[in-house]
Amino acid sequence: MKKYSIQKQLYLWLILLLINYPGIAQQKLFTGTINDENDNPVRNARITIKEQPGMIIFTDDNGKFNIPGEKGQILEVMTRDQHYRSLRLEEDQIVLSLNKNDALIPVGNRLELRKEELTSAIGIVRADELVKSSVINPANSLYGKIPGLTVLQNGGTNWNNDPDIFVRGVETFGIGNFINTNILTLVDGFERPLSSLSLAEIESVAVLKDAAALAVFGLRGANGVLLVTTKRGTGNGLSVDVNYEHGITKAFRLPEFLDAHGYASAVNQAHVNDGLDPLYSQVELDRFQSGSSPYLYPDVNWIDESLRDFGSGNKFSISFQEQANTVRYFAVLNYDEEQGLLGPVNENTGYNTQISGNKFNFRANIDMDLTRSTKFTLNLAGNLGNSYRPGTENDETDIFKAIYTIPSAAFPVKTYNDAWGGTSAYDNNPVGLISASGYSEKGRRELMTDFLLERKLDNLIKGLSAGGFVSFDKSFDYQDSYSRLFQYEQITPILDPVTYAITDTAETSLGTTTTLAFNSIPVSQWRRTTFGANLRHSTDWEDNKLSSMLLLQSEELIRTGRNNTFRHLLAAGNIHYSKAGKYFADLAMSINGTNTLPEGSRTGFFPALSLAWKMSDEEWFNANQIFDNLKLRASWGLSGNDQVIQNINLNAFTPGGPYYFGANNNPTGGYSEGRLASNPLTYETSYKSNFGIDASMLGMLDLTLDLFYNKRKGILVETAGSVSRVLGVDPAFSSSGIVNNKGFELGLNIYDNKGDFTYHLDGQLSYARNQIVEMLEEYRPEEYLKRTGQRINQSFGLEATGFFRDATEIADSPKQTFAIIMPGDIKYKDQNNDKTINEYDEIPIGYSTQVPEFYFSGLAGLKYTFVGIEAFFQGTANYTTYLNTIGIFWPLIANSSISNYSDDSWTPATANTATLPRLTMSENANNYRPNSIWFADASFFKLRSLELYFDLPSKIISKLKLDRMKVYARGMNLFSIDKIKIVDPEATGITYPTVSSYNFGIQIGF
Amino acid sequence: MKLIFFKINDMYKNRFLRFQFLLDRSEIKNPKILLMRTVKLFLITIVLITTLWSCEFLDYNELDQYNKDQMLMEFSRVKSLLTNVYSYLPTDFSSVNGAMRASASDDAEHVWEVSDIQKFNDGSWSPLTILDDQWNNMYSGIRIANFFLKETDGLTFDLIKYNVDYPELMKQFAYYPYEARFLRAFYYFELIKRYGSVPLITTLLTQEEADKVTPSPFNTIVDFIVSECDTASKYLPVGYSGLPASETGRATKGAAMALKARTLLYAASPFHNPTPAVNDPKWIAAAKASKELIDLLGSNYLPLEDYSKIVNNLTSKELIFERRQGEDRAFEEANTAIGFEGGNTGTCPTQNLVDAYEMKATGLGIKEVGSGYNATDPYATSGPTARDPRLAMTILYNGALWKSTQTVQTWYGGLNAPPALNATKTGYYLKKYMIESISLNPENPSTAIHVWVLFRYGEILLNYAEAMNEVYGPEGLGSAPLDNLTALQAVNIVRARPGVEMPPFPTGMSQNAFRDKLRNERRVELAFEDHRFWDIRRWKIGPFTTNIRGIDLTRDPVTKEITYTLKVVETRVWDDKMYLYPIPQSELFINNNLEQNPGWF
Repeated sequence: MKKYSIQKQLYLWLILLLINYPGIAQQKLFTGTINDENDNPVRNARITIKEQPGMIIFTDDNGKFNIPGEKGQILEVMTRDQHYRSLRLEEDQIVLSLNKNDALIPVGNRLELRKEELTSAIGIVRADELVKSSVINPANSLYGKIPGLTVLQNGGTNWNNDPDIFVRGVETFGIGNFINTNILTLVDGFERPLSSLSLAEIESVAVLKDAAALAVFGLRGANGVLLVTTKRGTGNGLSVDVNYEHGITKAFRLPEFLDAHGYASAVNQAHVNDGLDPLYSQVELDRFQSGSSPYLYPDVNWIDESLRDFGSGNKFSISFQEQANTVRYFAVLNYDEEQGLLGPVNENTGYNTQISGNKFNFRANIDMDLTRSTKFTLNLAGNLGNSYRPGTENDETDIFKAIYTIPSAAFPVKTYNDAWGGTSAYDNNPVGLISASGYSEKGRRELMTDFLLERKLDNLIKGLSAGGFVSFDKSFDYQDSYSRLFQYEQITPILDPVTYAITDTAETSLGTTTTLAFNSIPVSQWRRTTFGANLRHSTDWEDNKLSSMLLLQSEELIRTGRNNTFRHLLAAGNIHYSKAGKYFADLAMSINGTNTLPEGSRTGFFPALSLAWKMSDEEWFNANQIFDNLKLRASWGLSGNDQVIQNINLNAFTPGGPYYFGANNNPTGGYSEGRLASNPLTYETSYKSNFGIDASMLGMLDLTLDLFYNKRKGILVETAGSVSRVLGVDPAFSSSGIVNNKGFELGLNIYDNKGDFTYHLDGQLSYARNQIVEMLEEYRPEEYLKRTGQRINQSFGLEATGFFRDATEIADSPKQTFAIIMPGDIKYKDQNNDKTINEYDEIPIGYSTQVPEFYFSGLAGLKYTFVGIEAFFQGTANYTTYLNTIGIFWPLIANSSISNYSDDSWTPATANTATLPRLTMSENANNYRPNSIWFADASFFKLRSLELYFDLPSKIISKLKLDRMKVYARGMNLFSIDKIKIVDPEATGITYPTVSSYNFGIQIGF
Repeated sequence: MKLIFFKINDMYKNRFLRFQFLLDRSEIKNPKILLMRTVKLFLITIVLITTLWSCEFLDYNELDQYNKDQMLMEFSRVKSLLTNVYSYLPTDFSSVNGAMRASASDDAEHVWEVSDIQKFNDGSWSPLTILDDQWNNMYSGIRIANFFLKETDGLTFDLIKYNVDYPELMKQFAYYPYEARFLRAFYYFELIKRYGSVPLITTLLTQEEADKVTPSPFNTIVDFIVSECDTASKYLPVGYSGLPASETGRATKGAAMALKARTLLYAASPFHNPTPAVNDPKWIAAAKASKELIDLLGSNYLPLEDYSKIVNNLTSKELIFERRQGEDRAFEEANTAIGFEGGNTGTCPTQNLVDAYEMKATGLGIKEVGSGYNATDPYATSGPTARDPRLAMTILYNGALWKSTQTVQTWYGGLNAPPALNATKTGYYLKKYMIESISLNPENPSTAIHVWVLFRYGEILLNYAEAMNEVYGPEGLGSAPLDNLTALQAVNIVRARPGVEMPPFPTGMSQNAFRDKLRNERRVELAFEDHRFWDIRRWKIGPFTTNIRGIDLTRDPVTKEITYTLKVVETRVWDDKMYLYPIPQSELFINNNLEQNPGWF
């Protein structure tokens, strides 16, 4: 390796000779060492001199370098892990210790700032942390990684699911089903879904949280911005990284359903509770229990029949990066593949019906110095993904709906005639759906391209540069299905009415078996074009530094469907000033226009001002032994959100009630006046204040604390509650909703090493509490009914006080108006004492069902020489969920099954201890409605990952001619502590289950 | 817009050429040229973007709905606006959340205990618990009528001026404003019979104005309805069958006169006219309005339609105005008796109503001496104990034939009787308005056109008889046009209709006796046509309608003999505040000028 660095020096001198640089006579050689904050040498750091572009030196294994330059020039150091420092050449010997303050933080519009200079609230997570997740969609690697970023897992397959992502909770709400809480995700400065990428491509993910960071995003920033930066070529010479991982997946939790005997007994109990005779006789119950006639009295565990215990997956990636002459590139190929959890998938010849997915990602990021002052950047990326599933009508939820709702006693998998089991009530035999309904393939093709050109204009004005960029993305999803229907058979025993002996059977064939029918449909597509130009300028005098940026950008996103085209024009500017490396100020602003709003109110101006003071650099502070670093930050400013329903500024006429005329009663279409025009109509504006502290203490502890207070105004709300209905038409919407949102984020890192021992502990805690201040709410007769003053999506329901014991208690209690009450039904509290239980007795229960207020995580890592172990936990609190899944939580109704969740249902015998209402066969509107029994605490504490790894020692590695090698075993989502217990608290509906996974991987670099 | 994008594309193409140009080594040697090029490039980009900014880049939207101007441009669209006004016409097919309003009168009881209709009966009705929310619905109809009247006035549809059918269309169009004015008046009547005094709105309100409107007194709105009806009846045709398009079902002259007659009848009734004067002008006005219509329709409408063919019949002879519906079976699904295919029971007629049917032979009420009523064969259809034939045409009782195949069994244990879930609570099922031919077989269901009677000649005769009796007694006459038809004659026309042919009211009745018998006649004749609920209110007889009776039938298993036992089904809550509906609390909360009706809080 040493030899190599000598070569490097020779090469360097050669370059110097070749470059006809004026004033070469005064040049001298500077030598230096770069160390990291633990005093370890930093190798492969890039050293350049600002005044001599094109000359690039890399540090050797000992962090040492030599570079020719002259006094007064600016030396720039850039490490592979994105730390940057610049200094004026004075001494011949340079020793630099880089620390966290030197880390480059993306701040948007392809700009970066050293952490020290930052005045805004930005959280970041880098590749080394992200790759500790074995996931396909990079969004799923973000749980608990960044303070202030709430990521909530959803059910669905690993290759399809997308978590819900919120920055600092939510502070807005849509009308009806309109969603306006989407955050803006930018990949290398252009809007793109995170799911289009693979983890191997990502250098860092940053979350912009306060106005200082968000103002430049104008109308799109108020919900927060996720900045994803992909990797770029760096380092000396070609380096290749190869990763391979094999994973085994397992359903995180599956509900347990009662067996046939349990189900039949429950049905009998429900019949008795409903005042009817039991459906099954004791003889029949015994048959279910003994399993003596498995075709007539089946006992099928649909989960066992339909699912296998383990799925599997493979991940492979290879990446290349190099800095060669004037070209730097990073290229990666990534392939992820996973086989799902379905069991009976090999019943067909020619195809298998396993639910599975694969995704192939590629990327080439190329930077070229066309001239010494002109840089051309080309990013080319894309992915090809395919997923496969049985050919059921909708998607795999059809299968899981069948598994979760068909009772174990309903029918056998196959009848004795080798036909699929089924009945006229249940036409969806889960095993049949999996293996006899054909298959379906879904494909996604995405291409993402960026072209950027940047030109230094020092000749014009020193420190000035200009750039232009174009970006074009296209995504297309299609579905090819080869589906078929299958015939099934219902077998009903005919019983002797007295002895219940089986005298005969009635066999009915239902449905038909068809051949595979091919159908191809385009599912969705989108394309996005962005182009723009920017000017940058930076200068310094004495101990002042001033840099500024101006950006003009036009973007268009066209998605499938009407009113799904979005156009924006953005002019953004930013001025960053620092003095003496202690005082920092940023002024950011933007003017942003959108096509989703009417002319006159579609353009907004969003300024923000932020200040920071690095207190620890003051001389009087030096006496303090506790703080190594202490910085205070404060920001205030505006950010907007233009996600509003389109065209509501117009009074449109809509088809209304028809009428019938003429002797033949001909239907004649009517037209009526639609909703009144919503004018003035405007975007939402979030007034954001932030106060932050960054501190390092005792050489082993980093702390970041941010306090924020946001006020969102201009939220579109319905005015029906404040306009008299004498109006006779739907009143306009009004941009007059107001929400307050306040909270804090705390990040804490502790790290230390004792000889060969190193350990680190990271903790993060985020809290965001929103409150609706104004929503033009309708008249509510009671204070507790008001939504104003509550959280967004606060759950409201009746307060259960127990279960009715008998008819006397029912007669003596306030009248419950939803259904006819029987003993065992839920008894509610009469909140307004009007002797009637109705909608006016609903009170706030628990918290929001949309987003938890507390979101926290913790990481503990321990390493001894080359062996390490790391555990990562993540949890939520103040979070509510509505348990209304039929079959799992709401048993028996709609012919569904019953799970062990219902074990505690009311019966006359268990009246004192029951926690759930009586079983019933009817969709009892008294029991099955929002109330305190079904609103459950959704808080959880999960072990998101546990990893044991071996960083092979350099002795072995160098023998293998490798740069590095890591072998690991990693478990994902291993356990959860929560109150839901029978299913994942983050996915309580009917979906493909969330999974735990066990992964074994190897990473090699050379 | 497309042009601009092509332009941009071209620009970019040019820019790429420039980039390639930049790569030319010879150029690099001259930094000044290079600089100039870059600056130029940059400036072009800025110019381009700012140009875009000022142009329509952001004006892009995908609106696909008509605006006001587009609506008014075409005749067919203008017509569709008026069509929409018609769609607000009411029915009492399941009008209160699936139940008939009749189930809130002493004519019926709804089978479902938790149905909203029960809130009328159990006293839980309140300004917060709004039932039959026509405040919202009628003002929507009024709005679109106001819109039509304001915006379509004077339209000439020049675009189609030279079409062959232009004169015909314009002839139709000439009626439209009067149809709209009639419908608007109709909706005001629907409002005042519920709420008493309501805001009278004839303009297009803004949201701000809507929040500040003041109510007009009941009589002011009555005057408004009368004057609108007078105008409309002046211009509307007597019928549409000979006119262009032959669109029967539209408002006619007769409809406008009928609305006026009914409105004046309500205004003269005890609730709104508690102390009538001698020769009370309100009663006289009501009588005159009815008589004018009787004179208009004259003998064309006589003899009256067969009673069983009045409802659900577009060609019914005595139909003056109706609410038409498309083909459906919702009403049958809601009211078919349990025990019939697809039946789940809904409206259960009461014993109170059944008892109102007189004896066919004597014309006497069942409790009157010598009526001939036989309590062991209460539903006889022939012989000396036969009941008024309208009973069998209105109500399904034990032994009645339904669907021509199955006999209704309401005795305990019978097919349509307790203990079956949802069996009738009163011992009866509804027949009127039910279309027997509709199949509720889930495999092979069918539908049919339903027609709700809004005004028919029979009602006008009864209205006339009632008003005349109040002023001149059963057999008195007034000055023209009240000089040739007595109250007694009018009611006897109704009783003599084909298929009913009940004995006439006797002569020599006192005014009071006549009033009682006429009210009973009205109840029977107009049963389940949405009159009883309102008649109870205008006659102020609420307290006498709270005792809801039914009948239990038991069948001897051996002799198959039925025993009838009368029972009280429900004792309802009545409060005099219920003569008017409460105004929704949310409206009072928004508008301080509105005042809650007496007694409601």
